[in-house]
Amino acid sequence: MNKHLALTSLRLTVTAALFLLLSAAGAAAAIDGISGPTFQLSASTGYVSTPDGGSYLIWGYAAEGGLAQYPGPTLIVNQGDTVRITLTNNLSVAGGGSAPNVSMFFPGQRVVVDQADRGVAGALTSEAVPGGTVTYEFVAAHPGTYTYYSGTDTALQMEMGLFGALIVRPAAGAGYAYNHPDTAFDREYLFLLSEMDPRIHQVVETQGPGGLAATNHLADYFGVLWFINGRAAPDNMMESNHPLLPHQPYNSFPRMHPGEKLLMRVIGASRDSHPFHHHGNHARIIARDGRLLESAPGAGPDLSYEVFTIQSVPGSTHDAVFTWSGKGLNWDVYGTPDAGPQYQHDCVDNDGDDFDDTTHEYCPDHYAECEDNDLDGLADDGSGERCKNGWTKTIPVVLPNQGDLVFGAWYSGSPYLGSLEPLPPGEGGLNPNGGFSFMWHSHTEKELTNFDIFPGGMMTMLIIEPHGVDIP
Amino acid sequence: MNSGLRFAWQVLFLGGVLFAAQTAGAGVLVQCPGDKNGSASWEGDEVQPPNTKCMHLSGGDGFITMADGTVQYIFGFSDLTGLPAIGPLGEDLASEVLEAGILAATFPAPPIVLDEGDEFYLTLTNVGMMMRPDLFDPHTVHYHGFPEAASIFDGLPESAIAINMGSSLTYYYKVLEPGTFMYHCHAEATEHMQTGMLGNLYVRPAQDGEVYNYQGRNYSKFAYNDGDGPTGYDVDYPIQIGSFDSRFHGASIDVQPLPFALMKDDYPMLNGRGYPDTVDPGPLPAPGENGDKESQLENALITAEPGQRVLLRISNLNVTRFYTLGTLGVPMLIVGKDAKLLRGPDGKDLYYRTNSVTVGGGESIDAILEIPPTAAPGTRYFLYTTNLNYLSNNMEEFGGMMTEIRIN
Amino acid sequence: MKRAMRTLKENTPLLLFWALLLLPASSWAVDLAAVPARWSPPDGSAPITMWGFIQDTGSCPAAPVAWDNGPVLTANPGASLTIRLRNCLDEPVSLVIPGQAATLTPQTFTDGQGRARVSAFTHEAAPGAVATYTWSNLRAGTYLYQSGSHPAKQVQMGLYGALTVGSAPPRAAGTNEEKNMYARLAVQRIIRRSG
Repeated sequence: MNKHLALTSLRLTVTAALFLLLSAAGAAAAIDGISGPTFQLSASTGYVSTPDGGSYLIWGYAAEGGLAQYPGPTLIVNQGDTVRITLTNNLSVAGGGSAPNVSMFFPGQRVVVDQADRGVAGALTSEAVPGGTVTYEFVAAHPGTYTYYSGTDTALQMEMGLFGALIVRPAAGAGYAYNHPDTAFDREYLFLLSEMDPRIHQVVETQGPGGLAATNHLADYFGVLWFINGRAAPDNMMESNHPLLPHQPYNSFPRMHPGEKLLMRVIGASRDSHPFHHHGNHARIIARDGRLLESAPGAGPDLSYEVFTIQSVPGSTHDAVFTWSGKGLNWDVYGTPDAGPQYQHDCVDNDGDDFDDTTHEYCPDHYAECEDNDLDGLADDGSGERCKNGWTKTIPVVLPNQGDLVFGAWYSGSPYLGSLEPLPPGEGGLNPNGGFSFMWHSHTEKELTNFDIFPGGMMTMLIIEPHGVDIP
Repeated sequence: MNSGLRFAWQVLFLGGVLFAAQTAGAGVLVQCPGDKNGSASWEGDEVQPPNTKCMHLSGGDGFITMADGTVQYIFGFSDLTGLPAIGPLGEDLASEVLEAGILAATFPAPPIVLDEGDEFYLTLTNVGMMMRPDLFDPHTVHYHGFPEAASIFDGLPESAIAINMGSSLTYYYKVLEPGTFMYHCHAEATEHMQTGMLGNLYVRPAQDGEVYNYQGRNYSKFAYNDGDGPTGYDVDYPIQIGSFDSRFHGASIDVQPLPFALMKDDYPMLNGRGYPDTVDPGPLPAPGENGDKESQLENALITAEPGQRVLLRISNLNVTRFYTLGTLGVPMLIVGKDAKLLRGPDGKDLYYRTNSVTVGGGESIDAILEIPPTAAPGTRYFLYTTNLNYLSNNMEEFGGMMTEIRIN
Repeated sequence: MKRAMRTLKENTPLLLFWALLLLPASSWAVDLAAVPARWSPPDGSAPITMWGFIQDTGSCPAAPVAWDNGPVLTANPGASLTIRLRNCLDEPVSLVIPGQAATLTPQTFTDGQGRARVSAFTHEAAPGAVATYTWSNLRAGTYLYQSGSHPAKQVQMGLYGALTVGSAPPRAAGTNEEKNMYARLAVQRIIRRSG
């Protein structure tokens, strides 16, 4: 398939992201959300927009004074907080029927319902009647990544969008996922994975939920739209709170510097499993469902394991730590002088950890001068190092002519970190700092589509920016 | 390639230098240290440098035969390693190379077997899609799971480069870690992967060759550098889970819009075959549609002796769903996940015994079958999907994602 | 045990547990039958034809029974388990327990292309006949037993049940053990829904 048209639309829709990169303004918290411990939420209706031009009715939780959003607001509280959430049911339906009850369900938390505002008893939890309220309380006793969703007619209400994330920060403070030093991170990002079967939304929009009784859509579910944090690619790479997506406030656009620890909070928020594959390196899964993988309390994540694909199953949460340095590439990641004078650089390792103290370049892969008088491709000093054009640690292959290549939108024109080289007009452009970009995506590649259109769906790009680039 | 440049290449290869010209001309160009005739291998007076491996793959299209006899159109890779791109008189053999790759796609793609510490040069030549002359798709090779990757060689076209028809791109990797990986084209991933550009890739550990005694037996082959032997094995088998949607492949060859949204696989496979072809130890007969080229060279038959430990290098590269693989008669000891030894950061073993593993796309599992020493010759066990409806080749029953473990 | 006599469904597990208790602890034997059954969906739709495992009564039931998961079998680790399976269906059935070691005698046929294909993972009971299956040195844990014949069809038709190895059978009705047993029945229902 020839996808140049798709690439063009990709570029147009991520223009806003470029502005974000070029300007240091618009600093968004690494995890967008609202802080507690008391929340006034409502459930109401809205529309989500998908990059194929679709617009679908959702039922979503809204922050106080806000719009229904997909997903619901990420609730951020501190360990030990008494969390109190009052939910007002502002749902309305087409077709003349009455709106359904709605509720919130908090897996992993011991929830009590405020007897003074206890709504009505439902199958799983207490519910708010249309126009009514219900108030839940729980003590956020354990730090971690959690999810919440409606406990009322969950098969339908979760599909319609009534779910969200709950983050409990540990007593250890900012920069830690749990109360142990081995859970430290430099940046954190939420990856809340969901999918949609538009038929369900269309029936509910035009006939109300009662219209589903004449179908088997809920049982014969067939998703064709996939989202990270409520947006399908490439919309998820625009900035948060974008005016074109009023009901989809969260983006998914992870960025980091070499050597940093990036905490991935992965939530399987709706009904399907997704194998979330992060190019670039392994990540270490340190916790599941809000519990450290530890052999005994206080041991730290000594039962953690590394993966290159996180198996996200419905209702589960995973906390994983990702890092990258380019260690062991066996060529100089910042370039060698034969490629141009702009590639000259030093690798300074005064603290003896093998990495440059500022750029985190892996110094054993740093270039050095060499001689190859016998033209055997190896340095004459017997070190066994490849020697090309008078330098070691060059890239050992010649890259094809530009005329033989197709370029990615995130290609800088240069194979080296932090550099740009000229590209044909219109090529590249989404990587103005010359970072290394890696796709993080569902490895069920069918899910990289927006309702039959490739590319899209459950994917985003991690950009590893060179040192010195400000990442809000 | 003009004759002047050709001469320069010849001189440089004879001199043992990999190359000097900065501009690689359009066309086939195989880069491999010590290789002078562009065969990605070393013959005659060519010297293979230590710890170096090369391969030459084509990316294009082809045909395979499903277990129910249906011929299926595929995209895929084929192995061109060993085919010279430069003749004995320095003549350019690019057209011979391209012709060898046209319609030669195999499923799965040729297995890539490496050793920890290797320097690996893989040249990918895009030979175009013979059955779809309207397409000018590029191709890539994504080394799925290779740690500390750089975008330029990651094989993800969005983040760097992909190679056009008629030209070659050489990837370079210093192979850092042992384990069970996999590889696939990442250009237009949904389409190119559904149509079959998928293959096994695994790396043997540096510990191979050392002897460790584990539970009373000596081993010198291991899945990982465990330091004490529990990943020791006698025989290993890569087992790649895959499945095709025949309507998607039909739309592809019929030049129809591709049904992405309706994608639903109906041919579940292991190593490119549905049962009972999975237990056929030979290549499957060449389909006439591709000019009689054998296109299914791998099988999934597992054979072992009583008392042996059998390492299954399981990977999943289908693009539509999770599959669960189970064993019957002998359990699996899971020692690795995603090319990592299952051991915690301070050395606690995380191995576990099971009779089923659920694997999503892009995941890998290292499972050891411990064949009882008392197993009688002729004993048969089974490795099969416990998603039982996928024990089928489309409408044909007693097939699909299943293979046999036969004890000699 | 008057309460336990009410229905076959409630009756079966308790009878089995008492039966198993009377045997020597190191070997367990159960007689099962694969029988036609029907299941009525809770939404009132027409009954669905199923095949199920029930405790063998010595002869095949005259009419389809109300379908349920096969009886919960229980044994101790290290013990051996012998199941005699009476086939009351009109095609061959068999029994396999994924996860328990077994010597299998697969049944094969030759297909239209001359290839040998396994149609059953192990030896079968022909229609009307009884076949015997043995597992020794049982491993602890929770397992499924299911038909090993044409499994894509027969397991979907309902031929499965649970085996628990390692928990002691209940000693008396009305105790906590009985509650655990009913919890196990709930597990069976979960298994059925996902099966």
